[in-house]
Amino acid sequence: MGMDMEGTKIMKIHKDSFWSKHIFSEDHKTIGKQFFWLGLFFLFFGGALAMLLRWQLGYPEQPVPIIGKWMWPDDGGIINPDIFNQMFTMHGTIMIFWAITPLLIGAFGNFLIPLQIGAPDMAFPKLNMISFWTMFLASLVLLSSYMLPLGTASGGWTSYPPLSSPAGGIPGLGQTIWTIALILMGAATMMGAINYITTVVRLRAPGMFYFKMPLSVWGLFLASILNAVFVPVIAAGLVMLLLDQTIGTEFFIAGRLASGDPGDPLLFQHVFWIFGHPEVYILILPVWGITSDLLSVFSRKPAYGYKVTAIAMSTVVALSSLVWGHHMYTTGMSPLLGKSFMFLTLLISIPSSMFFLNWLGTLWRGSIHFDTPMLFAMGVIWVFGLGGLTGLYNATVTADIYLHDTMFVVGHFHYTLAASVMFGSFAAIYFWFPKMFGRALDPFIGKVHFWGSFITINYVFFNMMVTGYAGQHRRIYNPTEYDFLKPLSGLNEWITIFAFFLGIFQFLFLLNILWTISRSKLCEKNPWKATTLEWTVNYPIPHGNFDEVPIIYYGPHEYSRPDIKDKDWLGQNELMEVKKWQM
Amino acid sequence: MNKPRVMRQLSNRWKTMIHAGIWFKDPPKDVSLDGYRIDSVIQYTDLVIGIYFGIVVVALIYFIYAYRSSLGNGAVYDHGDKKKNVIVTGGLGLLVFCSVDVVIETIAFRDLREAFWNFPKGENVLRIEVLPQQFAWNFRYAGPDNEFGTSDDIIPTQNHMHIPENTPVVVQMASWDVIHSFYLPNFRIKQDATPGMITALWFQATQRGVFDIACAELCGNGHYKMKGYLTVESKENFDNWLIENAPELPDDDWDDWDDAGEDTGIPEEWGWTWKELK
Amino acid sequence: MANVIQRIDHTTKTFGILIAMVSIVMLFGTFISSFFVLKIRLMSSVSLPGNTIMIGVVNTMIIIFSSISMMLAKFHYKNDRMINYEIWLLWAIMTGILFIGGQLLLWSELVTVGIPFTFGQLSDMVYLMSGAHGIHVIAGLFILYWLQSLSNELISLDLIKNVGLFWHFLCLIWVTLFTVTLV
Repeated sequence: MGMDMEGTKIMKIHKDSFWSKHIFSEDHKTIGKQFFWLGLFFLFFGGALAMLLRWQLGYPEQPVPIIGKWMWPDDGGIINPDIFNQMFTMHGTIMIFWAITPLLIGAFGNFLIPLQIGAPDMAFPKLNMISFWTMFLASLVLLSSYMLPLGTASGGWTSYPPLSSPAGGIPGLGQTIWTIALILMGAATMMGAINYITTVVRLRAPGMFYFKMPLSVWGLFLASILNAVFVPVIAAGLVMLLLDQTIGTEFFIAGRLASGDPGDPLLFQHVFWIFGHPEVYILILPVWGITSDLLSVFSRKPAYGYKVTAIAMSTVVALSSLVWGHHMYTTGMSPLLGKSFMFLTLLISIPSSMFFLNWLGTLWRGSIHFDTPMLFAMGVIWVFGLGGLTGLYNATVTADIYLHDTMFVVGHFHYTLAASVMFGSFAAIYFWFPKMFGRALDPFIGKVHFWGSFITINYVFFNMMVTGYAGQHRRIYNPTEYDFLKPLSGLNEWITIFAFFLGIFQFLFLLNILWTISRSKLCEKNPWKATTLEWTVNYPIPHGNFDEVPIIYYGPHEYSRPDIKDKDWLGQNELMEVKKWQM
Repeated sequence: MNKPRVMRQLSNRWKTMIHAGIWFKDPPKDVSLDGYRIDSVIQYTDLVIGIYFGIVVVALIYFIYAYRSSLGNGAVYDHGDKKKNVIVTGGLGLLVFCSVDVVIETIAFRDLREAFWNFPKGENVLRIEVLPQQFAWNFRYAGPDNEFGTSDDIIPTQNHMHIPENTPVVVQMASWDVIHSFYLPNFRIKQDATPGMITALWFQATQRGVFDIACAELCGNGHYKMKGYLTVESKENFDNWLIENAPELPDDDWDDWDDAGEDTGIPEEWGWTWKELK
Repeated sequence: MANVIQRIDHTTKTFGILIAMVSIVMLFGTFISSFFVLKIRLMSSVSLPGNTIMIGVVNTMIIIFSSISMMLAKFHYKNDRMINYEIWLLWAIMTGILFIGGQLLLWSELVTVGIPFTFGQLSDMVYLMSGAHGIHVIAGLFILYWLQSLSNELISLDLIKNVGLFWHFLCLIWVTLFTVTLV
């Protein structure tokens, strides 16, 4: 590691005007907070859409209570099929690209990476600022599509052509605006990824070797690599789609067979999933890292098999780029391809089960403290266990012939991407809130939030899988249209009821955040007695983070060392007299 | 949020609701020759992942109980990165891989080889072409001359497909406009129909009855009601039905053809005749 | 007021540029793969008329020359010949602009010979790839212009190397794209 201080110089003297401090700030912590609020806003926006979707599925074609009359007066408060399609399209798009990505990669990536590796800021602070404001612009573009007279996009978050092209018959400009917003979002993500990777590779403090980085940084780093490599792929696909939508090219539009039009709808699916499968790992990787770290902190025990976890996560990253075809088993792919994709997909279960076992290993013989972040981290073990295992059905070519495009798939990816990722984000928010805002979130409300969410989220997503196994296909406006789905209407109603309660518990979380921030009492510097570098600096952390460059002596999980008596943890940069104990 | 309404509904249908919310839902009745294969691979996966998840839950609960900090035992300083530990985790990972993944992979490949990708050949096979459009299913039978794209093709009413029982049926499809997916829940199969390419599947019905055909791929705002009916009947009834639906004037000129096409909304030119696969 | 201490050595910047180049390679890689997928589906190749190929070849030579100019500029800067450095940098910029003009000429020639935009998938891919590359070249030109306008104290060999790296990379991308369209 070239940690010479030759290139060090005083970059600039900051003038802290309101604009440079809060709006166009180049401080990674401020940008992290900006991403945090953006992500939180869209999380609740997407959540509200989910509630309306569930209403329609639980109580098909009944007027939405309270807000229905006001939202859709023409239909008597009933959600019509067009609106329904727009809702699930925007729910998927917003949750994946505008809620989870900003929350985990944007907020925690920005906030944690420099602090945890001992860097004064990101490698390219200006690029970081531009990244956020590009994302903000993308948000405005996306939301502006709601102003269109014919509504926003309704081709699903996958936006397969020809449906998403003019040939698909979706009226209006919504689909085009959606594509533009996604291209902008992709540009923002790529800028962020370049920044994160460079920061981790170049700006680690002296002694912070790769295998001394906290696993959160590992997760965010690997996710950024995937972002840098695969977001351009979808960007290229979306540019081609945009040209199809606006100028009249036909890259993805095949005419009737007789006319021999050579556009290829499957090409978009390939491009989409070459990006799309790594994307799900982009979303989950930070959660794996954060969970590994938090389990260690609250078990007061080193993360079990730290290196194995890091290497296993890297292996999953490598494999994730080779398995996109399992999203396309029913498109008529060749048998050889189908089999290869199934085999490669199943290979992922080896590294996944290894780091999963390491999570349990961390708890084993630990001293488990049940603080709110720990509850959520253990919740991740549960929901990710279920989500990961149910992936086996979808990886199996034969089972997927039946289960593809059913609610089973929806239940499965909500377990991994909604339940696991949200629990991971909540754990992270509860854990790092004292560092971000100087105040600890209320533990009692936090625990109510956890148990409420845990019970409802499991009921909702498990039974989504049950309805899928019973044959209910996804993205249908009214399941009672079909005879074979009639027995499911009671269950769908129940899922809706539980989903509403799930939504209500999230407001508890929002109130907790707002109440805690407005409350003035600051908490101590290191409330969780954690070892990583971010806990060595006082709130508010100055621009530049550390007074002097920290020097790292120990790994990130030095808990319950037998050779220190007065406390059960040892900071990564704490110099301790090494006595008899040598490793 | 919607409490009053939900509560009212709860009190009205308390018993049915409880039943609906808790009892496991069976998949639709399997009426196909090979559907059991899919059910059995799903059941095997259910079983093994049930066992593994059960172990995880038991371990989790035990650890939470036995290693809670209130006991005051303190944690063991163990990085778990010795060779021994790595071998154990790796070994358990491999165990999971071999007991779950390898087995379902073997089952799946066998089923694909023996059934789903093993297209039947011969005289006995009924060939049907499907051309989905927004938002209806069109079907085409070869007719007496056993060739598609000729004037004696039998094109029944939209959304109605008939097949004889115990006869292998090969379906070829291409889409008229956007991507659709031909989904037969009672037969456990589906296949995407994409514009510009021909895809195929085959199945064999073992029971008579009328079953739903659904579109499983989002195809627009009418996606949810893109519903068809598959009637499985005896060979005689099926033959009669074919005769009933045969074009009345097979050697009619093109003008009448046009009219007929416009009346039913079924496209005249399907764009392909039968394509021999493999 | 806060003093921000930041290690921003040029190796870090080079590394960032390399990551950006990986992203750009993936972008054009997707275009190129899509081009081949469509080509296999069409079972034909773009038959560019002779004139357009000629223009393409000349453009390729121009951008290679621009790349070489950048190299020479770096060489002269290294040997403290500032006048020569500035001349060659100016050459790189001018040939870059010439390249953009040449690409526009190529497009107009394509339109003239009856292959307008939206004519067919493969020719559209040619437009798309050259257009996407052109946007990158224009961005590169802005960077070159910025480098040229810097005062002497702010220029360093590392900075010139970084800018040159990106400029050579864009040249390489075009050579690849042009070869792909001819295959």
